[in-house]
Amino acid sequence: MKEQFYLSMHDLWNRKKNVLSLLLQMTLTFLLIQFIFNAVFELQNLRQEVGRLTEVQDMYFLLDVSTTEQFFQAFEPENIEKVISFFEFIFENESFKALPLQTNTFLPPDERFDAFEGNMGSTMSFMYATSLLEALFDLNTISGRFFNETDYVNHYDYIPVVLGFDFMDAFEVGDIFEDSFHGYLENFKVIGFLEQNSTYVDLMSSWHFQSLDRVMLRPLNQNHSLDVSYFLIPLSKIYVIPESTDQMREIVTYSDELGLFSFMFRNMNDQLELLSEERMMWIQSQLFLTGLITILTLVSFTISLLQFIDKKRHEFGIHYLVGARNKDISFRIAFQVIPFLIVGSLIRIGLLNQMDYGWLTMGISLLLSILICLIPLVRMSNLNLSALIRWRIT
Amino acid sequence: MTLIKLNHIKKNFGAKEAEVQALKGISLEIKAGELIAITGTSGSGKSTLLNILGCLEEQTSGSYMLSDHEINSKSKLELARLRNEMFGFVLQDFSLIESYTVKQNMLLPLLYVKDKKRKKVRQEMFMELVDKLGLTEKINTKVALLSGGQKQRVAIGRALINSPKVILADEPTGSLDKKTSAEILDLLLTLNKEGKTVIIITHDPKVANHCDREIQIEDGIIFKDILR
Repeated sequence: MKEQFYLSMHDLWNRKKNVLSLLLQMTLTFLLIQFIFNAVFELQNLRQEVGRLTEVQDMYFLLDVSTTEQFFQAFEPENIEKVISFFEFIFENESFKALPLQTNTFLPPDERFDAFEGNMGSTMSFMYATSLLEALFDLNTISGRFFNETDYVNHYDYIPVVLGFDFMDAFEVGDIFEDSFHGYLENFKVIGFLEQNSTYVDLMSSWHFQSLDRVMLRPLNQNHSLDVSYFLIPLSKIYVIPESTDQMREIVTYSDELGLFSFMFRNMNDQLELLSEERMMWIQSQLFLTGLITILTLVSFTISLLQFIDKKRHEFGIHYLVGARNKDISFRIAFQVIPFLIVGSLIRIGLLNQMDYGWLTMGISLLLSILICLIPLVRMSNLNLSALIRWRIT
Repeated sequence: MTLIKLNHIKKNFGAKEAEVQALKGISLEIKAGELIAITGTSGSGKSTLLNILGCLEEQTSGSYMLSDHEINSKSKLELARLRNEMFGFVLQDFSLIESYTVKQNMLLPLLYVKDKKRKKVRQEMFMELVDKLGLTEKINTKVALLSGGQKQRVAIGRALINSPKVILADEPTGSLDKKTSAEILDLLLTLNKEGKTVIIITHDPKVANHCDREIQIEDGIIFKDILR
């Protein structure tokens, strides 16, 4: 068997150009299969997560449909009282729970952030955290601590922050950095780091799980407010856990009364269904495309192997003559698919930088390999020994 | 000692109306160490007989005993093993892999030897065999670059590498000039003197005349079996 493997590698080496194009096809097929698995399982996980979040009480999000005019009005100095009033109505209301999930970017002038440079330069994402965020998404720290009750109410010289896991490479608990916000200087002190792969769900923005690995969390504490935007940012994306749907209507009514905001609300499960439908359509179109590419790959490989068999009939005849069995020649043909499996899978892992559902993809790849070998091996066994030898000898 | 015993061997090709009977009942005994020429006109069935003798093809009916093996009852796997261990083939077109070197071609049968000890012993005999065939200088040369005579020597080397009991040669001098033909024939005669059973299929009466026994085949049957 070892010898047949060497021979098959030699066969591949002798048709390098063909091998390269087949490898590209195989890799593309693997990538598409992986994309589908990712999409299907992420959707499944998302359903589970939303199911968990809404197990006890329904969860809603407020859809900001404010006009541009309202948006600018909210920044007017005479309206700041109204903004704060709405902020307190939402986040300090004891009859329902609310969660801000808006992420914003900021540009800390600190070289330690250079390693995390994004598309827009040295920017970082930050979110306002509440104890509800911690509890809902089961956020834990790997080092230091999460915010405690006083962090949400007391005024400190340094705003305590919890950083995403990736920042552990550049920061330590206790480190201090600063940033200027609308001309005001803000000082931050790192009090902890989140566990790796900490995520949250924001169905208003995306059906993907949102990673917190490169996000800074700061406590929602109005004692640290510097201007009106401090209140407006968390208000731009709000998730609410009310005791009844009536409370959602009250929120909408109150925002209308203030005249600065217009909101609609939607149940998270309804949103999930909408997203799921959209996602399933995407998955179906991906499946169709993947099916086509897979068939094309199968046909290309099969033709390539059949051409190889035809070209090597004389050589196979000689091998049979000196004692090769059908099995030996079949292995030589089948072994040719193995490097494609391995290299294709490695490229897939390398490109996507993930091993998730790798075994499933590997299983599909193996099935694909079997299908690729099927027709050539049947052809080979039909040619059989006497036909091959007679073809040459007589 | 009888090495090969064929009893009423028939071989048909094709089906129903298109059926052609290549062998019409061949019965034959060959003793170990014999040097036999099988002669006959084109299409007489001599190559089919060689294919059956070499376990390359199965007969339609009749029985074939090779040493103490009943060939009829052997599986494809066992037939492959017998081809590997019992026979060395030397064919008119040399049947070498042109892109391989002399060494790779000659060692090819050892790829299919399961017994590691035997394999090792045979590998150790390789240089001795190359020397005997006068191919020492050419072992790393690709077969495509060799002359016809050299190619046939490589084919003989490949046939001998696994020390088979029987050498089956199908028109071994058919593609060679007179001088080279004589050299190759000498080589086969020497192998016979060393104890190998050599069966040569040939058109050439001069080649047949060198053999101890000539079996003439005509229209799928043994026409004459001449002992010299």
